[in-house]
Amino acid sequence: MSVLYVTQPDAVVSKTYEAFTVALKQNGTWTKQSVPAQTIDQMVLMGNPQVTGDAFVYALQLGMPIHYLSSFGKYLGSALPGQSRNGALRLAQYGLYHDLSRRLELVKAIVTAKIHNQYVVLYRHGQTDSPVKGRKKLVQTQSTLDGVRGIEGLAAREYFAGMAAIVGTSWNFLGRHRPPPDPINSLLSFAYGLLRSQVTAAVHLAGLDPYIGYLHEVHHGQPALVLDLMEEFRPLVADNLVLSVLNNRQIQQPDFSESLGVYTLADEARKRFLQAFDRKMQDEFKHPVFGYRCSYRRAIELQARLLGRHLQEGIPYKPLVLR
Amino acid sequence: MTTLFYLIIYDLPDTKAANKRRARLHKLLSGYGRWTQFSVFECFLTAVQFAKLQVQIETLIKPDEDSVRIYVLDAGSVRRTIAYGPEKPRQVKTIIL
Repeated sequence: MSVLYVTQPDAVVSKTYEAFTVALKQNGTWTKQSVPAQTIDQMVLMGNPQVTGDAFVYALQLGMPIHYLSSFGKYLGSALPGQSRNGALRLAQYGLYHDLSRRLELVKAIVTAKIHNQYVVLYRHGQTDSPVKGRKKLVQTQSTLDGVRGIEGLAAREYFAGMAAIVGTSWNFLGRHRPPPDPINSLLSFAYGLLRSQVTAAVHLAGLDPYIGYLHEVHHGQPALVLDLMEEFRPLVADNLVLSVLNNRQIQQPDFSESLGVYTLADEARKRFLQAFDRKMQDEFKHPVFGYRCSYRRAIELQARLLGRHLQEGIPYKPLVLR
Repeated sequence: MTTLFYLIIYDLPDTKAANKRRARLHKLLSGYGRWTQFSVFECFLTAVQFAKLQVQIETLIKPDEDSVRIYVLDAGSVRRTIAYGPEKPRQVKTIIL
C-alpha cells in the first residue's frame, strides 16, 4: 500500500524494465532515481510532471491509478486502470436514483454522519457546545432532499464558524471560500483535492458510476457519487488533518505566498503537508461496522464496496462515524 | 494485504552471457525493491507480487552457473535485524519526489 507523489513540475517519470525512473532537476543538474513500480498502488502527480507513454501504459497494466492534481492540490482528473464492468451494479445505482424514498433514507444517513463527524472534530478541539449538535436530529425530520441539503448547509456554516474559533484570529479565517482567500482555506482545498483522488479511485474500484449520486445533484461533469462518498470523510480526514498540522506548527504563516488574493503553499511546506496527509491515511482504527482494524485508505474502499452491496443486496449503508 | 521481507542475493560468474543476465536481473529487481549492496536487494512484497517475481527470476537465470538466494523474513525478524552503516530495512509507504 504505497503511494508515489511527484511534486516537482519538471520531473520526468519513465520506465526501465520493471521499474520507474524519475528524473529530477536539482540545482541545475538532473538526477535519476529508481522507484520500484511493482510495489506502488497509486501515483499522484502535482503540477505537471511528465510521464512517458511507456510508463503510463505500464502503470495501468499494473492496475495503478494515476491522479492529476494542480500544484495547489486542486483535483484535475485521473487515468484509471480497466474498471470492473459490473452492469447489474450500475443498474441498481440508477434504480436507487429514481426511488425517492430509499434515496432520501441514504442521503439522510450520509448527512447525519457528516454532521456527527463535524461535531466530533469540534468537540475534540474543545468546542463542546456548538450548535452543530442539534442539526443531527433536524435531519431526521426532513421529508425532502432539498430540506436535507438546507440543514447540511446550515450545519456547515456553523461548523466552519466553530473551526474559525479554534484556529484563532491570527489566521484570518472567516469561513469556507473558494478560491482560497486565506491560508486555512488553501489548506482545506488541498486536503479535499487529495481526498477526492482517493475516493475517485475507490468508486472506480467498486465498479460504481461516479456521475450518478444521491445527495449532490447530477450536473454535467460533476462526479456526484464521489462527492457523496466524500462527505463523511471530509471532517474525519481532511479537517482533522488541517487542524493537527496547525496545532503542531508543522505549517506556519511564512509558508504561504499570496498572489491575486489567492494563498498558496511553498514547495517545502507542500511536501510536509503531503507527508502528514499520507500518515493520516495510514492511521489505523477499529472499523465500527466490520470490527477489525483498518486504515483510512482501506476504509474509503470499504465504504464504496459497502454502498455497492447496499444497492444490490439491500444491506443497510452505514457511513463511517467515529466517537 | 500483509507483506513479507524478501532478501535477495545473487552471484553470477564473469562471462559475457552471465554479465548480461546480471544486468537484466538488476533491472528486474529494481522494480520490486531497494538496492542496498552490490548484489543485494531488499523487497517488501505481498504473496502475489513475490509469485510474479519468482517466475521472472526462474526464467532468467541458469541454475547450473548462477546462484541466487532468497531469504524470507517475517516482521519479527526484520525488527531484530542489526544494521551498521545504513539504516535498517524499512517499508517505504510514501515516496515524495
